[in-house]
Parts: sequence; structure tokens; C-alpha cells
Amino acid sequence: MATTDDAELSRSLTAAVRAVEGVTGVFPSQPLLEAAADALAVRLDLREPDEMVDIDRSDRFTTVTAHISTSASLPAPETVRRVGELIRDTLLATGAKPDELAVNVSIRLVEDTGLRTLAPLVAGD
Amino acid sequence: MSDSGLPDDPDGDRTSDPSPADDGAESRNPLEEAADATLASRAMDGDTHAFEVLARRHGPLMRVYSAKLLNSDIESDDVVQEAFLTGWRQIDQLDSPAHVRNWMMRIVTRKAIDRIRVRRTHDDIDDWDPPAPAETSPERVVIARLQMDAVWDALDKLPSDQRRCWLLRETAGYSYQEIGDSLGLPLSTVRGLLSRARRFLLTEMEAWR
Amino acid sequence: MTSDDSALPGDAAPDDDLDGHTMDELSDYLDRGRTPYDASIENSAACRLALTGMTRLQELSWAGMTKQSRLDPHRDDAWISGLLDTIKAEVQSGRDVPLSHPDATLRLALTEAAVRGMIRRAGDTMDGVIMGRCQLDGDVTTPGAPVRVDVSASIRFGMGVDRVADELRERVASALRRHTELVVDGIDVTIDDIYLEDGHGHD
Repeated sequence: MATTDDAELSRSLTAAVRAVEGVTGVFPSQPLLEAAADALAVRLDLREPDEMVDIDRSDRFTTVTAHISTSASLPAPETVRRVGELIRDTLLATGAKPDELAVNVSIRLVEDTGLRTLAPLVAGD
Repeated sequence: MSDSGLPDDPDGDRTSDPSPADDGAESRNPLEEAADATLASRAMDGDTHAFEVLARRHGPLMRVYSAKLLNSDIESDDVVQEAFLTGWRQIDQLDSPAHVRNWMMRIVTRKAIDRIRVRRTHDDIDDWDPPAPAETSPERVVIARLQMDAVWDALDKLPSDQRRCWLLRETAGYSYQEIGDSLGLPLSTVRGLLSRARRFLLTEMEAWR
Repeated sequence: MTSDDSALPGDAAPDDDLDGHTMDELSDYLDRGRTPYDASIENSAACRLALTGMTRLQELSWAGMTKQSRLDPHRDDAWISGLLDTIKAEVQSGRDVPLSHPDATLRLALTEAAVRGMIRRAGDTMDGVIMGRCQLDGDVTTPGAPVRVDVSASIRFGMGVDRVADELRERVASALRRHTELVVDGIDVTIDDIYLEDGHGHD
């Protein structure tokens, strides 16, 4: 369970990650409870939309997890590296030690953003 | 839209091969042409777009069907939404992708019947329906409506249990045994209810000829 | 929807007018697809009329429901968008497909679902191609391990199967090169269906 400070940190990380070039969205980083009644899961927004980056602290070890979608107009590895480095640098700046920190970033979707990035279409027949 | 939402129409940039038939439809989703089996097997691979097309293709029919089962237009939205959510979560249990519509129809049926049960225990009212509103005199109907509307509307005049049996049988394709299991009725009762529903509807149908 | 003159008698024949058969029997007979052939039913005008009526009633039930569902094209937008918001947050991610970084603090990955999604998009953005199955065979979680891609697609009638398969293979390969570090051993493309311009009809 995140402290108030971590909630604040999560909000600012979520906003910062969203602003990274090539990032098109930030997702909840924990799966929805399958057990929740179907109707409830549909109706209730189970989480704060502004706190999508998960911060977990246990035994002085900090794990930060972010799930994102990226734009196909940029290579996904570049985008995800930028996000990972941003999160790492932010955490180090708040006093985390490099050997007590893990940053997990997953791309859950690579989406077209209006640009055609692949080879031209097959010529019509 | 929540943050977890993705763009609604990622295919809007598709501009290929304009043909006369495309006039006016500026953004066509190529998946809309895909067969149910294709869409269902993609949904099994986790493709939300494919599942969306299935929901748009078959959802309206399911909604109308459940509205008739429940005798409630409002509740039917909830039921059909819950049913498609369940379908999404259990899509790996779909044996034959080509039969996804029928499979969904059964999930909708289950959800609707669950609602009916809850209603019974909580409200303790016999959900016998009020007679259909006036304007059902044969002359008006025959003038104002096509036969298919008339049959559909005539279902409202049946008692709930007959109507449900009829819908499960004729639109969801349930066997007598399955109807009995779903509604908690003995087989002989199902037979009787269907027989009365059929007789009534046939009589009604004759009236419009 | 057979001949219109085959109307039932106006009072919807009671069972004892059915030459010894009952409506229930006829209904069961109809459910069995009128097999095995029952001469005493098929040779009875009253039974034939009743069967026609029942068939018509089934058709009208279905047609009525279909028509009703199309009355208001936007009637379903609300629940569908609610549904989509939920399911998109619930995509089964599958395995993690790692992306390397020199700093071991960072564990970067694409989900398998994301990889499959980009493969599908590579095909779906081709004119006349609708992607079907999409599988990643091999240990995608270990960097450098060889992986095979297995996809199926349907293509529009009139397109050259080999040419489409080649182009599809190239586009999938190009997307994977650009967005992943997978070592792709091969891309198997199966064209398993041909569709006509305007029809998803085969359901």
C-alpha cells in the first residue's frame, strides 16, 4: 500500500511518463480483480486515473512498475528506454539507491497514430 | 474516456483503394468485413478490436432479445454488457469460433435469467406482464405493421413464462431440456408452455393475413 | 416463406384436425428437420399447413427481432463503449518479451499481446487482407532465442495468394525488426480464406 508521498510520486511519474515522446497512454499496472462482480467492474472506476505508475517498497527495496502504450511511428525500444530512464532518474533524485531499485516498464500496446509507418500497400488488383 | 481507454478508431487512417461503394464512409474498419470465425479467433488471441466488431455486429440483437426476456429495455443494456464482458473473459472456452453468436446468445440468456431470479427473490412479485397497450386491434396492426413486427409485438401479450420459453426455443435455439434446466421447470411444463405459446402466436399470425 | 396460398385455417387448427397428429408432434418433427420422413404427416394437407405456419412463425420471430435491433443504430453506443473501456484494461498480456538496456536496474519489455497486436496491424493495414490467427512459437522471454511467427489471413477474392503472402511476411518482419529484439527464425503465413468484396456473410 502506497504512502501519501508515494501517491504523490505516482501522480507526478504518471504525468511525466505520459509526456514522453512516443508514449500514447499509461495503463493500470495491476490487473483488475477478476473476482469483482461483472456489473461492478464495468460501473466502478476502481482506481485513480492519475496514479497509474505503481510504487512498491518492501525491505528498503523499491520496485516501480509502469505499463504503457506507444506510438508505432517511433521504434518501441527507444520509447520504452526513455520511459525507463526517466523513472530511474526521478527515483534516484528522490534519494533511492541504485542497488535498491528496480524499474519495470512494459509496453502493452503499440498503436498506429495516424502515420503510416510500414511499407506501401499492395498495389490494387 | 478513462486513461486506460485506447483510441476508438485506430483504423481511421485507412485510405486505400477508394471504390464507389466507399463513398461517404470515410473511415471504414477493415475488420467489419471479417467473418465471425475470424473475429472470434482473433479475440481469443486478445484482440480487443475484433471483439468490438463482434459486439457491434451482434450486440444490438442480443440487447433486443434480452429486453424481450426481461420485459425491460433499461435492464437489457446491463445484461448485454455483462454478457459481453463475460464472453471476453471466457473467450478461451469458445469451442467453435464460427458459432460465436450462438455462444454469446447463451451467455446473454444466462445473465437475463439470473436477473429474473434476483427479481423474484427480492421483489416477491409475480412478474406477470400487464396486457399490451391498446392499439392492437387487428385492422390497425395489419395496416400499420409488417408481419414481423406483429409477431415480435405479439410476444408481449404472452405470459412471461410462455414468452421466455418461446424466446429460448426459437431465437436462442435451446432444447426443451436446456430450457427446463435454465428456468428450473420440469420438461412437461416446458412442453406445455411452448405449446400454448405456439398456439397463441399462430392464431395471432393468422389474424394479420 | 413458401407459397402464400398455404394459409392455415383461420382458427389455427386444433390438434384433432391434424389427421391424428398433434401440434407438439409436428413441432418435434420440424425440429428434427422433417426427418425421418413421415408419410402420414407429409401426406396430410392439414399437417403441411400447420408445418408451414410454424416455419413462418419461426422466421418472423427472428426477422422481427433483427428488425427491432436495427431501428436505432446508435442505441447501443453507450453500453458498448462502457464494455470497451473495461475489456481494454483487461487484455491478457501473455508473456513478457524483453527489450535490452545496459542498466540492470531497468527491466523493459513488450507484452506478447502487444507483439501480436502489431503483427495483426501489419496485415490489417494491407488492402484486401484480414488477419486471423497469430502465434509466437518459441521462447520469446529469452533474449536471442529463435522464434517463429505463425499467422493466418483471409484475402479478397482476386488477389494473388503468393504475392500477398510474400508482402505480408515482409511487413510483419519489418514491424518486428523495428519494434522488438526478437530473433525471427521464420514467418509462416497461411491464407485460409478468400472473401468477396462486400460480404462477411459466412457466419
